[in-house]
Amino acid sequence: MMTSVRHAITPKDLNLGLGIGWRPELALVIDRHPTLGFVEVIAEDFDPEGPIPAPIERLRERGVVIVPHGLSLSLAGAERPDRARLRALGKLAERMGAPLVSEHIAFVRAGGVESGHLLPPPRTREALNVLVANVLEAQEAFPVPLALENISTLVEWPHPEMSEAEFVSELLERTGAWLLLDVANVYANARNKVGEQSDDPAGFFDRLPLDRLAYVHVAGGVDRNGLYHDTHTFPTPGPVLDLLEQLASRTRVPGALLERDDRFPSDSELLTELDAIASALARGRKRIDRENSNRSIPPSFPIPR
Amino acid sequence: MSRRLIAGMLVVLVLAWVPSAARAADFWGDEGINPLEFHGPHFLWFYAVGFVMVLTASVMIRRGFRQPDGSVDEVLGKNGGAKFDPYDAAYLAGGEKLAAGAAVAGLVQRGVVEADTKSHTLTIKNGHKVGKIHPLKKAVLDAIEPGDKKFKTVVDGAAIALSEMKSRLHEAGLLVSNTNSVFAKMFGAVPLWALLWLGIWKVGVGMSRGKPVGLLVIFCVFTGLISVIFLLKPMFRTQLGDRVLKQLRADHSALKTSGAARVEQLTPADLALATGLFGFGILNHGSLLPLHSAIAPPSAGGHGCGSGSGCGGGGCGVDVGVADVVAAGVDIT
Repeated sequence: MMTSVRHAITPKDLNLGLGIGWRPELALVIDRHPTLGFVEVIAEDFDPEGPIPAPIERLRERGVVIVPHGLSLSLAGAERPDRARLRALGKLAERMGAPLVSEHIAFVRAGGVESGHLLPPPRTREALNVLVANVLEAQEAFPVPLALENISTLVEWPHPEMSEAEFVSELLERTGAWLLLDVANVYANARNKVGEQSDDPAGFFDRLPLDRLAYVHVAGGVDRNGLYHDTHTFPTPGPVLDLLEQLASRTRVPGALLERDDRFPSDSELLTELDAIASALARGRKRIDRENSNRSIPPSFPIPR
Repeated sequence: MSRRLIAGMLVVLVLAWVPSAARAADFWGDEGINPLEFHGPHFLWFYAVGFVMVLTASVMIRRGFRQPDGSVDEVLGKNGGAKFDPYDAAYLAGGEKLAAGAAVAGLVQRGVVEADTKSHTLTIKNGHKVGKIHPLKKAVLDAIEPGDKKFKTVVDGAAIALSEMKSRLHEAGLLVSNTNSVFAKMFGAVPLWALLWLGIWKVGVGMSRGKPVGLLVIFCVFTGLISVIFLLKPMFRTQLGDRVLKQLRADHSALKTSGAARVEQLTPADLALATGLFGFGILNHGSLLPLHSAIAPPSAGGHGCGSGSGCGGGGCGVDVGVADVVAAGVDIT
């Protein structure tokens, strides 16, 4: 039974378009991008009571959607979410006029110890129950819907009781939360032979509730010691764009956001990367349109309200 | 500050002042309302309230000489700052030094000019040719040639181009004319002088009667200092100029943010604009440190009107608020 918090406007209603993770280094190129639909801000970087930085205020004024993205709620932790952090994220969403907020399906602390990394929860029913309770509590504190992001990981807990797709699906079903699908994380897990994504990353999409998709992340990482790390410090690799295309051929993608956290490229390189992302989405859409026309049914994407 | 608010403040001050005089008169009874006959504490109160009134009047007089006010949109045009090049913006923000500094910053970022950290001089790099460029950049390059020039020399060498820029901004109603600046300084100080004259007279009366006058002397010295500041403080931008600059800084807030985070990756034009709008502090990073030390050496920093603040000769954005000083000053992060 679904016990979720419902909102009048859902992320599905949005047409976010292309986005970039807002970082001070990228403020200028973001400000000058004429068709950017949305940006994601790292919630922990902002004082929810303090002034909104002028560049972000300007983006808001011109209609660019701002999505606060949390890193520290530790929703998959055994402890209940910290009320102050929940309040801060909710307040930030309110002040930035955000239509949704997002967090990770992960924990970052336990017993007062901060990991400094996003860690995967064990895929057990007990862990899922705790996660569901935490997500429901978080949603009660937020004025807008919550989207939850799949993470990349190098380790897995032993003896999982369910697949990641089953885990995520049931989480979203029981909480009514939305899906922030990080395609680069799916690719990283596939490259590192983690879980079900190692065999067929695109097939992983088919097992997810894509009707709950709010938006997607893409990014580029680096090979190190035989493992792929999703560092957000390199251009989005071709295979990630291919996966994005495959996703777009399966469902309407309300928004696609590029994450870049370091080794910032020139403006022209960044714009080229955004074009590549847009092209991948367009290719995916063409595929679905072609398939639909072959089956003589009306083509894909309804115009969002 | 809105005119309505200033008018309201004046009314309040008058209402506070008149009873103070009346109370003093009542206290002295048959000695009337001649302030020179007020008892010491009553005169000090009378003087203090009067000081606030004349200070307000002085500020308003100065403000009156900073006309015109007008439409920012008209000046900037429909396309935001399209009519404004980085050097216009820099001159408006900080006068000739900041304009010349912005030009040098652009040339350094373009690889045409390099700065030497030890000698704090500027030199044109060998083998670099420039095509059609902005008159100020050309003047700056001509001033640097053949090389090893101090920034001050470069600013002096570009005087004609800078003067033309100043005239253009003046014609656009963004800078106060020299005549208005002189009048504003003089007339702005007059109300303070009048009060000071009254205070000195009362000191004389008090001394002749063997009364203590120490506190009143301190009040008078303070009034005198303020009047000197008003007399010397130059006028730079008009009210419209202030508003245009504020709008430009708001329009380019993202440039400030990205410039502070990775200034080395700004294009030459963006670096020139960032320097012009937000001050030399933006150059105080990485490979631009030699340039920063050449055009804003530490010895000149830390003063509100030093070269670090990009103040132009004859006008250094002095008649502006703290935010302007900070923004045109050393650090913007």
